[in-house]
Amino acid sequence: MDKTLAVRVEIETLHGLLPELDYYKILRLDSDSSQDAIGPAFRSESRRMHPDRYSALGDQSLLSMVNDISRLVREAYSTLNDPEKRAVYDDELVNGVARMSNDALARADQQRAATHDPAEAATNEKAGKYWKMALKDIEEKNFKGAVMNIQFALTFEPDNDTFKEYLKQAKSDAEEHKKKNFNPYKLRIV
Amino acid sequence: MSNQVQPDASETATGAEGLTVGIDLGTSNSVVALMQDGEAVILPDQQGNRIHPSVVAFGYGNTAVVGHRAKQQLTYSPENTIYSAKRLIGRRYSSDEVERMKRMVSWGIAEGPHGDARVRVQGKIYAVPEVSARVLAHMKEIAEQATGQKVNAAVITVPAYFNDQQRQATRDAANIAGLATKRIINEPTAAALAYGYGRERRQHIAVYDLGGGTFDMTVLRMEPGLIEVLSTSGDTFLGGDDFDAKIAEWLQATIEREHDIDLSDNFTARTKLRDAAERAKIALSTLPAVEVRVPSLARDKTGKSVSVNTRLDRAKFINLVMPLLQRTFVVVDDALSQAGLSTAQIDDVLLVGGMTRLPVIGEAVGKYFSKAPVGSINPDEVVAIGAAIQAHSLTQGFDPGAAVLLDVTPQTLGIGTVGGFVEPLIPRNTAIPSDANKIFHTAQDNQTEVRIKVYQGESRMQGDNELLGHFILDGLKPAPRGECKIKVTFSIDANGIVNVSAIDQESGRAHELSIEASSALTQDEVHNMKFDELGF
Repeated sequence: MDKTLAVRVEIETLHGLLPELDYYKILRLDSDSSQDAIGPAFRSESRRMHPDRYSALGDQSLLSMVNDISRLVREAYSTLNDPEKRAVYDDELVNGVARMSNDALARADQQRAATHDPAEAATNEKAGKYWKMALKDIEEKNFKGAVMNIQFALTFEPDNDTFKEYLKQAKSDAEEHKKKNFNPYKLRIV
Repeated sequence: MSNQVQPDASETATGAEGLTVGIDLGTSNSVVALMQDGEAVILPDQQGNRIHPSVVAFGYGNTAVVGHRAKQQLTYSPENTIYSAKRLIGRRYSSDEVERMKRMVSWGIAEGPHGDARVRVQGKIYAVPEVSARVLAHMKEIAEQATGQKVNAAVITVPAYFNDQQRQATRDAANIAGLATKRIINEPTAAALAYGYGRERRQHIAVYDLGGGTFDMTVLRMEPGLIEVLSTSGDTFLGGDDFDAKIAEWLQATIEREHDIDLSDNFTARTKLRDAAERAKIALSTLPAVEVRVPSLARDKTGKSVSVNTRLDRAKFINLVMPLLQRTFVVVDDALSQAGLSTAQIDDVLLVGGMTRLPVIGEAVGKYFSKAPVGSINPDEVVAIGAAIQAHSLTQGFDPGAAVLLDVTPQTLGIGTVGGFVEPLIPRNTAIPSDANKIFHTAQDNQTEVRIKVYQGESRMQGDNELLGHFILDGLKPAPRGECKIKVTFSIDANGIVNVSAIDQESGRAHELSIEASSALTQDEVHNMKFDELGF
């Protein structure tokens, strides 16, 4: 068989199967594959299914199919390569959901945030006291108070990166809070 | 060139086969290359020059010359000679960079109808893509003369850190010049493609790319058949021009102090100083010290002629440019941390861009990575070579020695939300092409349009990011608030260009999106700017 034809048949077949393929299958992985196996699988599939390989054939329908396949390869990788996203995806997959939804992505972000709890950022006891007050201020949207308390905390732990990051954020939030205006775009984002 | 409608070369010559070349459209210099008999080669002009100044010199009427001839005009007609136009491309007139640019250049900068920065020369206003188009047309002409064949398409390189607007403007420039853009690829990635051509090794590469106007730092993973960009970071307003400006400022300050004169409004004198500074900088890449001489630069208050005659050694030079060098290493730090790699994990460091010929840069980079940069590549030509390899792969069939590229988006794409914030949708260093979607609801009863602001940049605040466009999603059917749900998809294509589309969730109907507040040229404008067959 003509080589180009063989390629076309392979791509058409794979494209036809796309709706049924989950992220593991598109990367030719088992669902219990180790985290280290994800990258190499992604690179191998990306190389095979890269649109640039098929561009010179000048066959637009073939190219569009390859584009769909490579899009799914990237989507699969971006989920599986991130352990938090992968954990959420595995739960979804058990329920028969083969694609990550925006909601599922948001859940993964929440889990990530929960595992990096800012409340534990202080190591010094005195800094911890002010840090706790600062976090409470932020929760209550009292950014001015937060700036003050983080600055106090920083005097005890001047090298704490989390403090610095929050200070920068609190300062900009305080600024923003001051000149907060109405919503001119009338849209709500879910 | 005029603004009259000209016959569209690509439309009239339908079906005509032409070559696809690789073009490195640089701030200071441009290079054109082509894959010939399995090897990518630089196409020289008839005088044998391999690199060509990205300079456009306007003469009287509508005439203009480009390249080496244009650069010669720089010292005697500085206000009519446009150099470094790339620093303005895709930028808003109101941006800080344009403000800085106004102080650096001898030609005029004006505001265009979209709030874009434009070039004013001899009382006429040119969009920046029109100026860049002349450089591209010059490259096209050189390639056609060198090959004896028609050239109708190109792979064009841009700094990796270029945003959507800058990439679109570059594509517009190609379009005006009568070139179809087969792909826009990032300069450091192109360099890596050229370097990796035919290499069967698995390694991590860092590309330090300091050109005439921009700085990029890209970290890649290379393996047989594949080049994957892990991270890219950059500064689109840091390059050789700024090094020249530092030397020129020092020369100017010295002269002004010694002779009690003010040269700030003397364009001719300042251009001469800039030119002398550039030559001194280039000389310092091989010599330990240079004599800077500019005869009869200006006249002092008594009418006496003032000349520059001073010595610049490497120590003084390093002293002058140290702040700029330090800025590059802030970017290097960022790229490595984004890639999650340490300097010890980098196997090869590539130096790209004419500026890296300066020994001080090679030494600083070598010290930072604790290993000497790869010496075998030509920093001026390697980018065009990479573009030519990619051009060949896309049009002639995939080359077995070439690698496929997995590049990333350099800047975060987000949408404006309540209170002046930006919600990120596609984070920086995401593999492209990439897309993300968001469901928008109407917030009021019978609302028939929704406005969406799209931003690019790393800040959480809208004001600190680049506004790409203001989309209006209209024609919504009147319904109680919240009932109308529109799924908007934001995608970044392989060129790094952003596209937005919208679909009504219920009806499945696609919605038209009109773009407002984008600095890009409209389709009609580009069409009207197109060069005729002669190139101008």
